[in-house]
Amino acid sequence: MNRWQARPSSKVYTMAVSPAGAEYTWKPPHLRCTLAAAVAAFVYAIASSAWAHPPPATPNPLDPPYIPPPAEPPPPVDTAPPDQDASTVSPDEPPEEEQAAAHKRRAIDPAEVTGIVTPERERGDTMREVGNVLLAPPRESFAVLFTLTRTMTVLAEQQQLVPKLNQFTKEKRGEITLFPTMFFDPGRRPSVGGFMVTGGPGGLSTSLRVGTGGPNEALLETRIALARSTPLPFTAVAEALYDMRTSLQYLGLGQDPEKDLRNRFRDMTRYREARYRHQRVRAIVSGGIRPSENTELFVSSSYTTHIVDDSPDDGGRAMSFVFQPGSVPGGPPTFDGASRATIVYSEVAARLDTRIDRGAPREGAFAEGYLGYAAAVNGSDMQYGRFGFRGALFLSLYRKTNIIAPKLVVDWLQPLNRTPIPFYELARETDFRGFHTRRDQLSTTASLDYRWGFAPQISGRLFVDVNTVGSELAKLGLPRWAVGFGMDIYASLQDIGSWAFSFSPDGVGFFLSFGVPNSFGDRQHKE
Amino acid sequence: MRPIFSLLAVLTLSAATLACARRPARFADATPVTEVADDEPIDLPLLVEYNDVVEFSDLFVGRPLVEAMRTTRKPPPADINAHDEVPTSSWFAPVSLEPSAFELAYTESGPPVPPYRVLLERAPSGNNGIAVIDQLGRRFELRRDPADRPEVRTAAAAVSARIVRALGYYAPEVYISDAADGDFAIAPDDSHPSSITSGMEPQDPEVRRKQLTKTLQEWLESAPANKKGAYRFSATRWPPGIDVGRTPVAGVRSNDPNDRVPHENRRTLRAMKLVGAWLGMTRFTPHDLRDVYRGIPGEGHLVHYIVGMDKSLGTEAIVGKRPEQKDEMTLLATLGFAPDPNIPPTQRKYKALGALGEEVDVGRYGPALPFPAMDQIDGADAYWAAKRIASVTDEMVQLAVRAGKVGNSDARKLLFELILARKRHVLAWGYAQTTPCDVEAVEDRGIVVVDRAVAEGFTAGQTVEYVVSYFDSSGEPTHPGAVLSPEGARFAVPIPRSAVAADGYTVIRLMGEVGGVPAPRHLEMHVIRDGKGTRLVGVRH
Repeated sequence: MNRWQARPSSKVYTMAVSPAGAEYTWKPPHLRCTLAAAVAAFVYAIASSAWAHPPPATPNPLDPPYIPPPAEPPPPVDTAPPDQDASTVSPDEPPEEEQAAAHKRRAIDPAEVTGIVTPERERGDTMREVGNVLLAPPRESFAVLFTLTRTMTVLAEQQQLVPKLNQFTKEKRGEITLFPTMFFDPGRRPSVGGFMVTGGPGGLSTSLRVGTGGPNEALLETRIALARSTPLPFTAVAEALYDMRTSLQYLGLGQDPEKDLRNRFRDMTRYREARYRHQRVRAIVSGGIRPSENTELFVSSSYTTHIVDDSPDDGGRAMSFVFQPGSVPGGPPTFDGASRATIVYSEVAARLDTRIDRGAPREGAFAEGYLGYAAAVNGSDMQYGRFGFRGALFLSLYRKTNIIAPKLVVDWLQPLNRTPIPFYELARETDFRGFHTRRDQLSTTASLDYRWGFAPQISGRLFVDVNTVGSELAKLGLPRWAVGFGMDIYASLQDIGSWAFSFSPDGVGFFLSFGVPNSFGDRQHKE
Repeated sequence: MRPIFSLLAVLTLSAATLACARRPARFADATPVTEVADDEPIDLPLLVEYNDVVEFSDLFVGRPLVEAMRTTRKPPPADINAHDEVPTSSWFAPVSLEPSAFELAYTESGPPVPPYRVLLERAPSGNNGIAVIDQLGRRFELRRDPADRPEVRTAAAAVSARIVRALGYYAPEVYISDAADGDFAIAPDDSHPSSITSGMEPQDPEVRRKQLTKTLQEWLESAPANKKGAYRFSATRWPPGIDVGRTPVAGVRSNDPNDRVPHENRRTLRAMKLVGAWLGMTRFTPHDLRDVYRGIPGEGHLVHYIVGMDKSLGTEAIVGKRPEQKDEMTLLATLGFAPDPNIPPTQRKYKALGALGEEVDVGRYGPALPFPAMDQIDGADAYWAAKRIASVTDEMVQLAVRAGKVGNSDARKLLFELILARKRHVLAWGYAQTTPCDVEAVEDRGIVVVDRAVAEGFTAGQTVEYVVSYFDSSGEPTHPGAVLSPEGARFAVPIPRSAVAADGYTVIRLMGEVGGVPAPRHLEMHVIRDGKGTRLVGVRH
């Protein structure tokens, strides 16, 4: 075979053999030729792009300057405008009235307004356009996601918050809002999703939230909320949720779970961190009023079914393999088994927030107290009471937008009988920005935040958190700490997104939240 | 087969080569458009408002992400005519700058007449205002000064509104007035044909009455009365039609068929960078653009206004403690403890003046929120803005400052001087963004151009040279070109016969060099020479 040919096979490259059969030479097949041409074109285009904006060349001083022909002296400086210049007026020139009308030429088509018949082309435009086409799918996907958010939203009413009276009059309802969401939190899989809010007449709004973080991670939530300003500002919200989260961490009870005798680890495992899957089906009804400018009162009640089993993809780290099966209240009772519990939880809460708005760094004070009662309704007689307090001061330093905020959070569960409380109901350290893996009946977190606005709607943040948990006040363990920094993007009413790095003895954590703001407090919606 | 592949490779390469060659725009042989017919009757559009959360995430996250994935060049402005000017439209309508003619054009309604009935409505034309109806039934939005800085905010609103209108933008009428306690009454049940409500206001008459009483009381007490016991305020005539909400920050307004140019591609909005820098609009945001429907519903059209002038002239730097020349990185690095720069001591002396420095760094000026149009500004836009600013005469500025009714004559004089000093800085920056020449006349032998930077004394004429190049419409050079070293601001660019392309369409490119440093952009003049003579059909900076 002394000429190369394309093989009818699926192989791309073809090898030609010399007549002698002993010498092999590579010959380019179709694709190689085309690729070579394409590469050459690409390199040329890149080079052209670079040449598209060369620094203006300084004229060569050796070049003879252009001298106008002597017969054509430069025009006088006081030359009349061209339409009045005799040299440009032809015998066919329209009369003055028509000229005046033409002078006021009207058009609406932008192409006609600019007067451009053929647009300018720069070197490299072709390659730029090719790149633009290649990037069109992700770009347009993002664009659609964001450009649908062109109307007002009622996100504030979708939180456990009662709008202030001036917020009612300031905001105008729109129709449909679609909002992307993004979360990244240590100990959880990253998740993305969308949040759609429909603002209706008379203060009514509905929302639908979906999200996923991969297999065994799903979220579907729907709400209907009513917010009115008379006689007092109030909100009423009904909502339903299904979610499934997997690879959730459980280290056991107490501040030092490995040494806490309440935790019964299996003997044959070296792991001390268990993983589980948690499914929830939940309905919440809540209502709130704002008796005065800065105070809110809430009543809420939830009905939640919990299903907990081993995390399917975590092998030896699954809860039944780390802890003795059945030893974790609310955990899987056996290998491959799942526990199921339905709990009704009701709560009353009072809140004082003197900040003008919650998003920007502002001076003020925040205090909240709550009292709740929970009971199992699926045959178990588990009951507990829950109460707590959280308070914060927001003090300015040097500037109004430099805010230092000491905070204290206390959450306390008290069993009302001897039936153990499921582990997922225990007080956690959700306000702790390290790895929040501890849980017990009492959790306290103290923190110091410093926020400073350095650009419009953006602030920096430094924080120090200290947290401890225990079965009671006297048994609180040695506190854990975390320090970190981050940034927040905020609107006037609330945060839009934030990111932070936290450093603690457990490691470095990265937090990212975009979309639905974190609400300070609100046990019903927290894990 | 081999020749075919080789041919294909050559063709591909040739196509890429040809596609990559530079080619100037080609203009139609037509009179430039001087008016955009965007006043065609349209139906009254629905009110459009945006939620901060949604819009901010779009501005801070969504749009930067989308734009980062766009590899094409920055689009040129699409609201300019063939001569690189902005035609009259519902966005831009130049007025006579002769003082009496200007006042006539500016004053559509005139100042408010007491007594005032206070409405339970929004006041979107600025910060913290109340809506009232005056004796003649006209709706105004009234604003007061901070308690410790009398006259600062009200004066800024009145002065800047006039200057912005003088630039050709639509700005509402703002008047300084005062009134006693007794001139105000609440009107819980009143409405107005131009009411601006959210639909969320309380309906119960008693609640409305209480809220209005509280609002009025707080408004009156926000600053002390003057010696005569009267309360000074700025009165903004708003809306001068039917307020239909915010102007979209990017894209077009979907329910306005007249709106055909994406707003980020409007030169009028791009040029706001220079306007904002000149007038110290530190808190200018896209929220300060509002649309008004003018005319009977069904027969009117939208007009696009700039509001929020109470935040200009350094007012926010005083009231809101926001530095005029913000430096985000310094503030970030110093944890917010960097001292406020650029608050001149003179403004501590005169409380009626905001923190308005004599110098202004236009390059560092930015609005309070990302503003896509400003991000798209190019040298030609900056030059156009500088020309508009240059057209506002000292006399016009004086007229505007007088309208601010600043009591202290020294403060008034200082404000006037500061505005003029800043104007020169802004002009110097604007002219430096391109070859700052305008075509003055065209004839067969050449084009007379004027260098505005030289003419207005920003550049010494002796230091400027101009490199002239000639091309045909496909971008091929038609002549070796020349270097011109004129004596003054006005000079002739010759059009030699040999430089004229075969089809008569010739592009003449003029690149200015000051002290040997080329300008960032050139001036491109497109001429057609035929039996009718030589005509200028296009100009681009």
